[in-house]
Amino acid sequence: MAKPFREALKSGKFVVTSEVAPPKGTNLEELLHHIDLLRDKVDALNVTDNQSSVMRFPSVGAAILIKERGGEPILQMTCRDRNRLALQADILLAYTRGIRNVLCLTGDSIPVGDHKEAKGVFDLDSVQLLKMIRIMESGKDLGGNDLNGAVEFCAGAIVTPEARPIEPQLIKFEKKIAAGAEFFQTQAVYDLDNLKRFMEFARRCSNVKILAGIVLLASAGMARYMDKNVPGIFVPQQLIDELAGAEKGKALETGIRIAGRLIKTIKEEAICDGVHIMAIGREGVVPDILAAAGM
Amino acid sequence: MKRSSKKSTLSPTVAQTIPFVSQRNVEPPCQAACPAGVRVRDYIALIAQGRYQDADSLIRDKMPFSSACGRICYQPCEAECNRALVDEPVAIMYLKRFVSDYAYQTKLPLPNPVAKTRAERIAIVGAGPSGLTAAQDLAKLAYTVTVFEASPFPGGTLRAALPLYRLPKKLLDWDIENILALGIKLNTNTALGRGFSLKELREEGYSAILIATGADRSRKLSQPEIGVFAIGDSSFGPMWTVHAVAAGHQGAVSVDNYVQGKSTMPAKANHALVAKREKGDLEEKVFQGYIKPKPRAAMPLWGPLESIHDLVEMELGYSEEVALQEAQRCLGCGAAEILEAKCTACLTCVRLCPYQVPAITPLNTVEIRVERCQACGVCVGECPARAIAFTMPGIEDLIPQIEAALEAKPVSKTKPTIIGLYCSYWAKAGPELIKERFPSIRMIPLLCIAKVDTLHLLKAFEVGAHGVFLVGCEEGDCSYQKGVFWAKHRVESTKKLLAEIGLGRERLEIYNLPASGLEQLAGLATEFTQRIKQLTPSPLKNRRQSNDRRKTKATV
Amino acid sequence: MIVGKQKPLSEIREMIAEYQKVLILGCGTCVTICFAGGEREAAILASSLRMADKIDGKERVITEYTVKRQCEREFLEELDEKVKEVDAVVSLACGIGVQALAERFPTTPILPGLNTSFLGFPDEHGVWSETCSACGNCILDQTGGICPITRCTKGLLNGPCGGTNNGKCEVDPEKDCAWTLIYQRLEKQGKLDLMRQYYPPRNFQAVVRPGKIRME
Repeated sequence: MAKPFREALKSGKFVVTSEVAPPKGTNLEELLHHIDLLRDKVDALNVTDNQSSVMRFPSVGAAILIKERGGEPILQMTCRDRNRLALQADILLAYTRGIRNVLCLTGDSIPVGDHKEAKGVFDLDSVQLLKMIRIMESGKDLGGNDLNGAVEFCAGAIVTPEARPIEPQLIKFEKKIAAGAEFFQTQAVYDLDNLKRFMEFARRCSNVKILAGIVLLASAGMARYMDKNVPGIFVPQQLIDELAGAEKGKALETGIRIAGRLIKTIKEEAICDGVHIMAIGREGVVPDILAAAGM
Repeated sequence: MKRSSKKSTLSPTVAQTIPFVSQRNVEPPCQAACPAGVRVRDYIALIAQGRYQDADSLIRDKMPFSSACGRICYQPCEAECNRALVDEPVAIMYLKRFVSDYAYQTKLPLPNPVAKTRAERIAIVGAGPSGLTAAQDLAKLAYTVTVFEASPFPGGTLRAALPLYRLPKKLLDWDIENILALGIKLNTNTALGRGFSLKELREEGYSAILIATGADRSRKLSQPEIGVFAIGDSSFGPMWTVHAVAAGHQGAVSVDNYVQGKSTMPAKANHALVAKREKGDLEEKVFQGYIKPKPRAAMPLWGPLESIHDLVEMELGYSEEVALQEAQRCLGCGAAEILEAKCTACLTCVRLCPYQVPAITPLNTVEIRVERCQACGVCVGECPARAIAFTMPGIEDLIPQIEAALEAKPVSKTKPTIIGLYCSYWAKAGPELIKERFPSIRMIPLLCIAKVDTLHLLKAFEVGAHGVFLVGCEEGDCSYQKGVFWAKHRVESTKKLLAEIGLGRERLEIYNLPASGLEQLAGLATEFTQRIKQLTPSPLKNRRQSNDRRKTKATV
Repeated sequence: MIVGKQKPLSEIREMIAEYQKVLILGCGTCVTICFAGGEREAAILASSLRMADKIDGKERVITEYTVKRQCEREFLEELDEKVKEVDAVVSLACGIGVQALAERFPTTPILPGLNTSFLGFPDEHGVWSETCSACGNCILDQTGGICPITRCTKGLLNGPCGGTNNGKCEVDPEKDCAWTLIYQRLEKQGKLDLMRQYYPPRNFQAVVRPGKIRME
């Protein structure tokens, strides 16, 4: 039985989280396999919510599975697919099933996903979602009505330390804290100087826990793509070169090594409070990353 | 004096069917200055495009004595010509003469007789310039007109007073033939007071009588008589030909009003908004290279000895090449205007005009400033509400020209029917030369391809063209700064439409060539014709659909 | 103003497939200004349809006309005789005009030739951008005169989101990130506090759809 995530955050240890993705369908085999593989190796496991606007098995369902199998889930909740009634309802369900951690996201827009003609709901945004949870904790719903049984959650959000321009992002960061965020998982960072700079600002604002996002780079191509196309992610040329220079078939190994090295450095230099490891489609190698980081 | 001349077998010329009426009463200064109301700017535009027959009929509509007026007028038009602010006035009178001589030399078809659909008969006494002008107008209004002339020959002062080396008689005869061909009866050797009296005329059933007997036979009516009108020299004393003609027009209006039971008081003067150009604006356009100063073409002369010896005209008249170039000096003043009822003030014309002519008024309407308009035509095509009227020939008559070209040379089943829309400024060649070089293509002139709109191009295909090309200057040489740019833009959007319709992009083409590159065009036109030939025959039938046939006026 | 785009020719052809006499009706106000359905466009469409018909060997009569504005009953009065003579009308007006026509001529199929798209502003000749959503609860005073509901793809009130990319939106690199614009505007005005404040969830029922306003 995993320890509550909030305890891990409070303990001051170097927190490690990772994530699993639900399947596009009812075949839960791989999901269960990844849950079992990782549940004891990390402090908590995120479960994504129709990530990248691709329809999948629901995150609240997967979070329940993690809980059932002895892991500590962080329920990712986006505002793209559900209005405030549905979001509150899901929170009630999650709470009754023992889920105590939620990551509040706005959500990717519809056109990037696989249902390009769907309606993007966005009844709330991530800041309002955080606030919603705190309001529900006080025993009310967003309509001002009394709840018959309240909730309690460790709520977090995301931040992009290398957003350009950075100022609006920082304003948002502060708003999220004011709305009730107690931890952050960042967008992937590869330049630790930038991360340090961001942390300076963050520490001035508050003591919220910040876990640096580490996305596994499987090839030079992937690194270049992310650097060019994903907003807020910048991969330094030397890392791209390192991947490009790898022997044939060894690029993934190199990527694992890079991820491990980054994690190790962040931990040794106490740059921030932990890491959030994302190995989308390659959840199986997360233990190898941890090993490469000396954990 | 009756000559066997061709009667027109074609539809009325294009210039005769389009009214080109300004709704805001804008007039270029040349037209405003002409006492007879001749459409000066408009016929100069037609000459500039090589449309001499259209120019001729447009001139004759207001100045039936074009051969005389092209030689002996005091040119009030030239005195007001805006071109003088750039270099020298356009040689309007010489250009009128060019058309008149051309009409005579090439024996342009005479007008068709007008169907006499009105019951009334009008008598005109005196076959001088006033009388015959009134006769022409009344015949065009479908009255039965009879002219009584005391002398053996019509023409009045023009025949009697002008020597042969000022006005060759055969030209005067030709002018008169054009008038009489409308179906006017002329009785010569019949003098009022001798052969007949006013009382007799009335008893014979003439609804109105017009006295136009001239200054040398000025006749004071003993008392004002209803149904009898006096015009011209007979009432006001000797004047220039143009005034006599103007009097003829006024007389016809009075008679027509009288016969219809309307007031014959002279209509309240409708003050024209005269399109005077701003000197500063013109200087700037010259400075920027949009208007190229060019001296007025000189009139070639016989030496003084030859002309006296042969009693021929000392002035030889412009050649076609010179006339084209001289007519192309015209600035086209006051041609574009906004129809306020349709204008949504979308500001498209304000944004697109290469010369920043349309302006937002203090009332937040949009107006085209007549003192600046260059008559390029870009705004006319782009206006989404079709709220810009172009009162000069060249845009609103383009589709009738295309239809007339297809009528003259009907679509063949074996040869591709190709229409070539060419810029006259680019071509610098008259219609005969063009026809010679491009015998199998229906070539239609324009004052810059900027005047062609998507609608014109679609219509061309709709009425039977298998292929259409535009040819004009290269982008840097355009006479209108951005004319070529807009032409290219419209061709591209029309090509897209043609693809969607199922006709295909390849049927439309635009060529931008160095000036007067007829040789180069010949090669391209051959290629284009080949291309069209190889395409499947146009899937459109060549007969026009009944709901888009133009109704032409039954005037001539 | 209302901005729309004409439907593709093939779609319009399909709509009129079963009709023999069709009137193409343009509108002289908003859709003229956005070059989608004014007199010129109506004429171009009618000509194109006639030619496409000829190519298919289809006998059909297509006429065109334009009224000042299709969303005013009085301006539709002059159409009574014309509409009697046709089997169907293709209206190039926005959805309001189409429905106004359908109300006046309930037994004649009124077909939409235009896709009404948005309320927008002309950036330059031929380019329009949506700027207002008619949400019924204008907050432009709080966002420096830039509407986040319309110009932010997600309509966020507490923006930007993580997809903001160098001042552009992740969805379309040609589109600006509204919240970056708002930040820049408020900074210029020295009013960044407006951006720092928390905006509660939007009232989506500010205008209960379908909206109706009755002057008192």
